[in-house]
Amino acid sequence: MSENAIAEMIENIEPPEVKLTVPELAEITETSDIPKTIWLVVAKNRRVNRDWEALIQRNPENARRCYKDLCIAPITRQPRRVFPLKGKKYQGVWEYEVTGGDRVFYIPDETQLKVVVFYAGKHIQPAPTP
Amino acid sequence: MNSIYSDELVTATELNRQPGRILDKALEHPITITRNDQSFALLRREDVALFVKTAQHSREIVELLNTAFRLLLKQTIGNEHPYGWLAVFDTDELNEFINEVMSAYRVSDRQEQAWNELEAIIHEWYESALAISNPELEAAFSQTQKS
Repeated sequence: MSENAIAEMIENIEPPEVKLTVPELAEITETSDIPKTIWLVVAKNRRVNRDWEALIQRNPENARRCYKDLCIAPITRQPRRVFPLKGKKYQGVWEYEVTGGDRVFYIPDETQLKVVVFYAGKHIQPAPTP
Repeated sequence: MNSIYSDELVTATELNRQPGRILDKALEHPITITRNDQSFALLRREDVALFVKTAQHSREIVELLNTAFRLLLKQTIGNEHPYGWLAVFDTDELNEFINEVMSAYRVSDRQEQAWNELEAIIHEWYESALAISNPELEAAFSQTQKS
């Protein structure tokens, strides 16, 4: 991505949102042969970003994959990994299963090509297994 | 399922004499091997795995749908119930759940991929139920200005 494009994306961040910390080796670049739309990924606030950074520390490889998917295909369903939540309460909210015990919940905005992460961290326990 | 054994019978002696030919047949459809008054099935391992999966899932689907219908009838389902998590959904949502599961089940027809999709749908509803009942998540979505 060009520096101008990045600057333009960062301008779209509304306080208290902060740009989600990029895991090492997960910089997303646009290649000429496979053009992709790249989404701006932000944390709802600094606390959420801190939780995300803790998740990176725990599971760097999974976090990298998650970050890439959020940048490139946040609204592409991947069964048992990436999907919109069911029910009215969280309509429009998507869940990303980063690991068996970690989740990221986010809202994608298709018009702004922006993903806002509201929660990154441990999965709810205890839970009955379906 | 009722036609899987509408096949030719092969004696154990015949199997001993021509194992290759019989196995070639079993590749295409189940074979019944007879020995005296006993009978055995010879079929692909993947088929058996799929039959077992179908039976297991069918039981699970019946139990899941039964729970959903009981909730629609306003019956109480305890937290200890394996599908008690469905209780977080209201009538509209339960109907949507039933429709989604039924639709996926109708097309499953003993195909591995279709069963996987059905499993994924149930998993996504389950994860959604956990999210709905999670106070931490509720706080995360309601705190819009704190950092």
